Amino acid sequence: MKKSSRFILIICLFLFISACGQEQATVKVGDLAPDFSLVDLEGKTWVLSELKGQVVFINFWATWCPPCMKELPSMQKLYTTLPGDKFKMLAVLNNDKPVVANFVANQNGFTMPILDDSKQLIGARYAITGLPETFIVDKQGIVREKVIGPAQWDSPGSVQMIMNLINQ
Amino acid sequence: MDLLRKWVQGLFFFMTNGYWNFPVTRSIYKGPLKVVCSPGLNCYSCPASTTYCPIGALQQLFAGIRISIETGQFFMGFYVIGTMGILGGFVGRMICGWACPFGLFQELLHKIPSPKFGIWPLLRYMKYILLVFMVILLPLFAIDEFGSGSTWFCKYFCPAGTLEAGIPMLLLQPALQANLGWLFLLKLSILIFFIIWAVLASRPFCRTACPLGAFYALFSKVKLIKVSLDHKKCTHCGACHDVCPMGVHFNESPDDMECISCLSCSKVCKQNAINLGIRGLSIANQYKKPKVKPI
Repeated sequence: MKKSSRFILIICLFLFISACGQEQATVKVGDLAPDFSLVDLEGKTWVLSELKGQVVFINFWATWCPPCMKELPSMQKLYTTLPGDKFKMLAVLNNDKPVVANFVANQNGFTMPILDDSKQLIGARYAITGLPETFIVDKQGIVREKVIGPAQWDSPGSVQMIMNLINQ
Repeated sequence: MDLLRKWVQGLFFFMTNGYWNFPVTRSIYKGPLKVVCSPGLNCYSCPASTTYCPIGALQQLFAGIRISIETGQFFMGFYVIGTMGILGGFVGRMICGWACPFGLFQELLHKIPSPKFGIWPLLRYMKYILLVFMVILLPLFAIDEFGSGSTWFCKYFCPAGTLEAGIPMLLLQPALQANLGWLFLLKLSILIFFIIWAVLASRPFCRTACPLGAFYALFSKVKLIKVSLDHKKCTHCGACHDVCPMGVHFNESPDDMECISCLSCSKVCKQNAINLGIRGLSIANQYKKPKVKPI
C-alpha cells in the first residue's frame, strides 16, 4: 500500500509538471503559416496575414545565441539584396530583451525589422526547436522552407531559392 | 537514510526533467517553469528539462556581460549567482549527492558489474581548472566580432549536455543531423569516455570534471548543513574509507571539498562518530546495530 501510494505520488507529479506545458503544435513545410501580430522595435505592427502576395522570411533569434548572431550578417545582405515590395524579412526576437536587440542591431548595422516576441508566444505557436530557426513563407502564406540552425543566407543557392518563390 | 536519498534523487530527477510531452512536441520545454534554476547539472536543452542549468546560465552571463552592462540588463545573472550561492551556503555539495541527475546517472552506471578502480587523487583539481577557464575566463575574454563570448564548457565539453540534449534532439529532429560535425564527435567521445569510466570507477565526472561541483565545493567549510565527525568517538578504524563514492577518508578530512554528504560513511561507522548536522547539531545518524536474536 505504502509503495503504491508513492508510485501514485510520482505519477501525479509527472502529470502536474507535464500540464505546465507549452502550446502543442508543429509547423511543417506545406502547412499554412500560423498568423501573428507583433510589434517591431520601432513600434510598427506586423500582421503576417496582411503580407500575402509577398514572400516572408521569418527568423527566430536572440542576442545571447551565438549561431543566431553568426547568421545575421548574411540575413542583412539578403534583406538589402531582394526587392522590398516582394520580400519581407522579419527577425523575431525570442526570449530576449528588446533593448539588448536594439543595441546589437545599431552596433552592427542590422536594419531588418526586429519583432518583439520576448514572451515566446509566437515561437511556441511555431513550435521552434531552438534558436535560430527560420521559416520561409510563400505568397499564399504556405511554409515552403523550414531551417533549423544557422545558414549562409546570402549564398547563391539561398538567394535563388527565394527568388524562385518571388517569381512564382 | 540511504533509501531517503534515493527517493530524493529520483524526485529531483523527475522534477527537473518532468516534461514528457516532448515526443509529441519534438522540441524542448519552454513553459513557465523554465525560469527556475536547477540545483544540479541538468541541460537547458534537454527536451524533458523543466529548468535551466546553472553552469550554462553562468557562462551565458559572462559571455554576454559586455552587452548586458552597456544596456543595463544583467538581472538574470544576479539570480543565477544568488541561487548557486544560497544552495552552496546551505548544503554545498550535498546537491551532488542528493539532487543532481547526472550524479544519479553515474551512480547507476557504477552498479553495472565490472572490475572497479579508484581515481588518481590529483585529478580532482581538474574540475577547478575547468571552472576557472571554461566557465569563467574563456566566456568572459574570448569574444567574437559582436562583443559576445561563447559557452565554452557547454559547447566543447559537457557530457551531460550531449546525453540529455544532443542525442535526444538529434532523434527528435532528424533535420539537425545536417549540422553534425567534428564538434559533436568530440562531445560524443567525451560522453562515451565518462560512461565507461563511471562503470569502472565511482562518479568520475563529479570527481574530476564537474565545474558545478567545484563551485559548491568552495562552501565545504562554511555550509550550514554538513556531515560532521565526532573526534571523541572516532577510533580511526578506516571503515569509512572504502565506502565513500568520492574517495574521501572522512576521519582524516571531515571538511573535505569532495564530500557530497551521501552518508555512506555514517552508515558503516560503528562508533556513531559521523552525523549529518546543522551547524554541529545532529539531525541524522545512520548506523544501526545488527539485531541479535535471543538464544
